[in-house]
Amino acid sequence: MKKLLLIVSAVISLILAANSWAGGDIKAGKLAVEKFGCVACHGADLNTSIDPSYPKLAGQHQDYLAHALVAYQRGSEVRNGRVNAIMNGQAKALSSKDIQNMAAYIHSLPGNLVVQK
Amino acid sequence: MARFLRQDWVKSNEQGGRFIFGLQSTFVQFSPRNSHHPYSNSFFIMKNLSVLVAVAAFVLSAFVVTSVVNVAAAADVVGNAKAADNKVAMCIGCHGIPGYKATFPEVYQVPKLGGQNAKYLENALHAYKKGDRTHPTMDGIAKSLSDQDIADLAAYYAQQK
Repeated sequence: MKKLLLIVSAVISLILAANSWAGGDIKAGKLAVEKFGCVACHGADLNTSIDPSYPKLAGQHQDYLAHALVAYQRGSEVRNGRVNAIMNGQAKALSSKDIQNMAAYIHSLPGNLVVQK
Repeated sequence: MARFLRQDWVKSNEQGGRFIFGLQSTFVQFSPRNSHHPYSNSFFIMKNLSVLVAVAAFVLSAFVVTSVVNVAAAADVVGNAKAADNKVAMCIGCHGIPGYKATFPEVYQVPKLGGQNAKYLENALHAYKKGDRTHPTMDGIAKSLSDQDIADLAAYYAQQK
């Protein structure tokens, strides 16, 4: 019985660990956002960009944010890339873990993006 | 050793009773060995070079004029959220459904657009139109939009709360 409990708890903790990896680490994301200077353009709260040509990020879908950063990494070299003078350089410096963490953190912030018809 | 691109209109093989004409590009190399080549005649080269320069200058000036006109036109386009009412039909099928996911070629939730900065939305659509951003669905949609459509749609989504 004890063995069974041990196995079950091990499996559960593994699943949780896998989930938190896939979901990104919010705290590590906050550090990465500070490290890479995102706030310089997107604003301290990531919801008030310094120029209207830069997007509000706070509260945006996590998987979309990650996708956008990956697309900037790709640049024009492959399909499903994005070309942007600033973001291509910024994104190149990120590891895939950085991207997952930052996306988790940015998604967790309160913002005023909405989905409406 | 000088090399220049020579382009000739050539008639290729007959297909179904029709001649196919095409522009054939060949690099012509100048060297003592092929100096007998008619194109290596210096008079011919100079004459063609001046024509080339004239054509290039004309094309360049046309580009400058059109880009200036384009910038002026873009500056004049003012987005009208009300005018977008009958233009959002093709947006709301994805962007109006909470949690809707793009499924090809990668799976992720389509971005929230409501409340986004209008200028950013405009730039994004122009980028899809130009090819700086690619996504199979958005490429097609953006190409169907005029500058005015883009400005109207951006204004429409920016004012949502």
